[in-house]
Amino acid sequence: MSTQGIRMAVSSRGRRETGRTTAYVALVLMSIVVLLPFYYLVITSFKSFEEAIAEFKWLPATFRFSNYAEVLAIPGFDFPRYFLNTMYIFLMKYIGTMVTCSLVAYGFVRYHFRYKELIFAIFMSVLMLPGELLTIPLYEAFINLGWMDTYRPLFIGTYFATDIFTLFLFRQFFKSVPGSLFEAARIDGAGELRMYARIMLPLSRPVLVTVFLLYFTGTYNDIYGPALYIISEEKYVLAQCIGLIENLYNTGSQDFLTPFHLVAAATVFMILPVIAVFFAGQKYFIEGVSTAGIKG
Amino acid sequence: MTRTIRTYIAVTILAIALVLVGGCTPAATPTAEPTTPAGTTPTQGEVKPSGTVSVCIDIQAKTIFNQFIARFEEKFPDIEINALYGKDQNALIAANQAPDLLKTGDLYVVSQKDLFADLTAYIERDKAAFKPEDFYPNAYNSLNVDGKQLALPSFFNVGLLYYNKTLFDESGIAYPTADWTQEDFISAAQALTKMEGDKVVQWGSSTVLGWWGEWLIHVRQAGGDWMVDGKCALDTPEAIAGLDFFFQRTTKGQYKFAPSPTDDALGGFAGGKTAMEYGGHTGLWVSYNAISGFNWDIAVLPKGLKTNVGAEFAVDAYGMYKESKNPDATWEFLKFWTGTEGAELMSDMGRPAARMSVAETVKAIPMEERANPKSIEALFDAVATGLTLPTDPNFINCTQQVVQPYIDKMLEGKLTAAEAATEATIKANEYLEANK
Amino acid sequence: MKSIARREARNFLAFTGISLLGFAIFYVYPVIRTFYLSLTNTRVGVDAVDFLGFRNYEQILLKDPLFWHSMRQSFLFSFIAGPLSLLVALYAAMLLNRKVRFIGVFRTIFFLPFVIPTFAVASVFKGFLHPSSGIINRVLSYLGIQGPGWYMDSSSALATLILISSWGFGVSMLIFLAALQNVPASYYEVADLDGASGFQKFRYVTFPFISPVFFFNVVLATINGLKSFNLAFLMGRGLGFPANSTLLFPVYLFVTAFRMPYKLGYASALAWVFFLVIMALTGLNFLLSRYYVNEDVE
Repeated sequence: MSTQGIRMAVSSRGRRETGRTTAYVALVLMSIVVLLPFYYLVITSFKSFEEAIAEFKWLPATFRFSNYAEVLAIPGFDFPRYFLNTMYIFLMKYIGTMVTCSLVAYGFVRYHFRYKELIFAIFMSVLMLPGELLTIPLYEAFINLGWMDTYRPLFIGTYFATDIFTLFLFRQFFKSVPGSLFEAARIDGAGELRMYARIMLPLSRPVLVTVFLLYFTGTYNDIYGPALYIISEEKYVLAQCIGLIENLYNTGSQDFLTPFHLVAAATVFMILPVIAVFFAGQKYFIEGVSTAGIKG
Repeated sequence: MTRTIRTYIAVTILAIALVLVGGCTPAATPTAEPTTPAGTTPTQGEVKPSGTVSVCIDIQAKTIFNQFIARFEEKFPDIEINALYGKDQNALIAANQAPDLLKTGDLYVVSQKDLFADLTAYIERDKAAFKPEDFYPNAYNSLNVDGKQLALPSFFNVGLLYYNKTLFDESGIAYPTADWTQEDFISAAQALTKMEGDKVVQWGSSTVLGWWGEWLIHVRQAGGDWMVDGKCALDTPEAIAGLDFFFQRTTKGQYKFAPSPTDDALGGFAGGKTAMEYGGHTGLWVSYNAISGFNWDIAVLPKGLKTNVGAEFAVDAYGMYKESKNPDATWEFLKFWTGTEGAELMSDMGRPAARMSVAETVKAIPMEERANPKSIEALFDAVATGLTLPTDPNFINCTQQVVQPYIDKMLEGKLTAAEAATEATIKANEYLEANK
Repeated sequence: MKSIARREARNFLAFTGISLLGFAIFYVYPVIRTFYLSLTNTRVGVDAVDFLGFRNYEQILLKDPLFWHSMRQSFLFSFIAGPLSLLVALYAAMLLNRKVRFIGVFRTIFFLPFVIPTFAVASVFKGFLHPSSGIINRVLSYLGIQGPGWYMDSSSALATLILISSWGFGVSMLIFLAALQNVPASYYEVADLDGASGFQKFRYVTFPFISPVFFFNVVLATINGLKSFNLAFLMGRGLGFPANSTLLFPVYLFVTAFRMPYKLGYASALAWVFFLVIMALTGLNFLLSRYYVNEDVE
């Protein structure tokens, strides 16, 4: 190796070292930016009402663990029930989407049809639709069906493979399966549905996990749908329950004080399951999201 | 293979059918086409109404309301009250499942008038015992649309001067009195504004941001108004003077005793570091009393630039759904709910009842036995200087979307009061014209 | 031959039939129905409905300053917030693409904002960015810097929304990370031998590889930005506070339809105009994409 080459390798290693330090500094700084709001949320959940509405202090005077007990003890607020309601909606949506979208995507990938690319392009175009365009007529229709105050309006669509994004995910995944696998299966005498069940489903585990997480957080986040359709208090979902707590001191006026400390405690309760699910499914989730983005 | 496909199609169809059928079974019986509005013709003579009456109630009021229902059902054993706690009345109306008793208010009743039955005949029949003259006249009359009494007042809100007694005591300043002038208010507020270095640690007064709650009072007390003859009139010299005062109170103006939007409001009046709140809301009393050690009271608003008339006066009311299946029973309950007993319940819940006789009961309680506010007399005195809001259906939208942005900019110091008022008036009138 | 084609088509329809049905019920029907509503003056709680023809559209385009204002705010928001959050995501992904320790921990941390419900994000940032009591401005003032008015000042409120929305960069970061990991290591080795600087490596090796992914996500993020509602609704007190600066178009539409006086007909017309705008944008992007994508992929 020439001296020049050696010098170059050395300098490049040195550069890499400083690069690594800068990278660490940047990573830590970004982590702080990301984590500070979490700190704020958690610390507020331990404050008193007076502290929560007054000027911000980094630590509460005393850590009020009782806030959490207080949230659970608010009369009429049945946390476990709201959680189960949310989970019920989530499961109904998830099952509907998984079953129909995977079948439909399989059809799109597996069979030849002259206009299938055009059909899929039209399907994809609804990702651009503003949701407001759809809300009002569907609202009317569900009322006429007598589905007000039921969960059906919230999940019925998923049983018709209307979640185009999930459909897209499945299609991307199925496309990567080599056709020879099917030929082999067919020679073994497998039927169409069996091929789907035996070959395709096991392969799409990253999609299953990704959609699980997206739906889990999505159901948590959706206040719009439940606010439109759910009327009875015993059918409320978690996001609505936060609204109930925000209104705890509201005696019917438009101007009222929010008990931020209780809202924070309730929020911490709420996000714990999501974080748990995320940690459990991280590996597959990352794989699934990546596939979706790359092949776009 | 074809068989598999057929099985799949069959399963799919079956699934759809199940979902659809399953969905339809519990469906509500379709609402009948609107018939002649019920409720306008009460049963004459000896009535013994029976049946179910439904009404939406705040979930927070559950405990106290249950006692009230028990009392009512004891008196009327044939009527059953179906209290829909925590349900959204608007959603129920949209779903054709409106409750028999509907909540409304002076601000809403005009745009909701198609929903309500005319109560005039019922009131006429029962007026001897019901005493409609006991309601505050401005509250009662604000619910009369086109000569029809569509709803009855339950409780009211009126603008007051809220003050923190602890902070007044610390500064050795005498509590506000009914004869305060604007100068008294300004000098007290300035004396109560405390600085540490260049940082304000105590405000003389709060600033109500984002809606008309405070600035409209200043405008009206200066002799102006928002709406005159269906048009925006914020560009009159009086109204501009009122808006200007709203600005001059803040740190960007000349008096500097109230926060600008970007200042630290120190948690507002409830934060315990703000001596006074101009206007306020009676709906907040429950929250104030939930704060330990918060020693507050009320006074009638000081005289403004021109007059002491101008506090916002608003009424929460109940009316009867025009397609109620049980109008007679609903009327009995409405009568009880807005009658003396209902009004006393409202009062117990910390809401100012809309009946004048209840004011006497409340005032009869000795000062030391009262919860805050101790000076409850001020509440009833304030009614005389209160003004209702315009009932034009466009008022709320127009104020919030068209006018308020200019007020916001004025508070930021980007527009003078005159500029904000002139531009807001032009835009508001365009809006009112376009949305007629 | 023909029978095979027919069998394929039949199988295709058997599997996808349900989605065609769903598409008709849940997308086509509502869009048409909304169009019908947009030609009327339907209002909640008012029985009389008049047929107006295109008068709602006329009013939107000619006499509704709030329509133009909210459109402008939405466009500003999406055209800045979309690309910005992607740049943050790309930077984060490039940091994570290095072989440093605890990379898994950092990746998890960066992704966390994704799991926080929007209402919590809004309430946390309201406390956080308060112009005088918030942590950020107080830290700035220790450093002798006068912090901005953030969401309380009409000149910075929209920018604040944009900043907050770029906090949730997690998903795009994962996408970019995967794209970066597909860049063959040998390319960097060659670049190293040539003595390329960090920026040169990014410009000539990394970027050409990830640009299709990047631009695809830019388009998605921009359109999602146009549809953005929750954050603006929560930060702007439901009405665009202060001074309508956070009145994004979807917020305006929501307020029109679901606040007194509940003008459903007019709101439907607003929704249709919005639909046409987004369609036009999508079409434009389709035309332009030939240029940028082909140019960058070898």
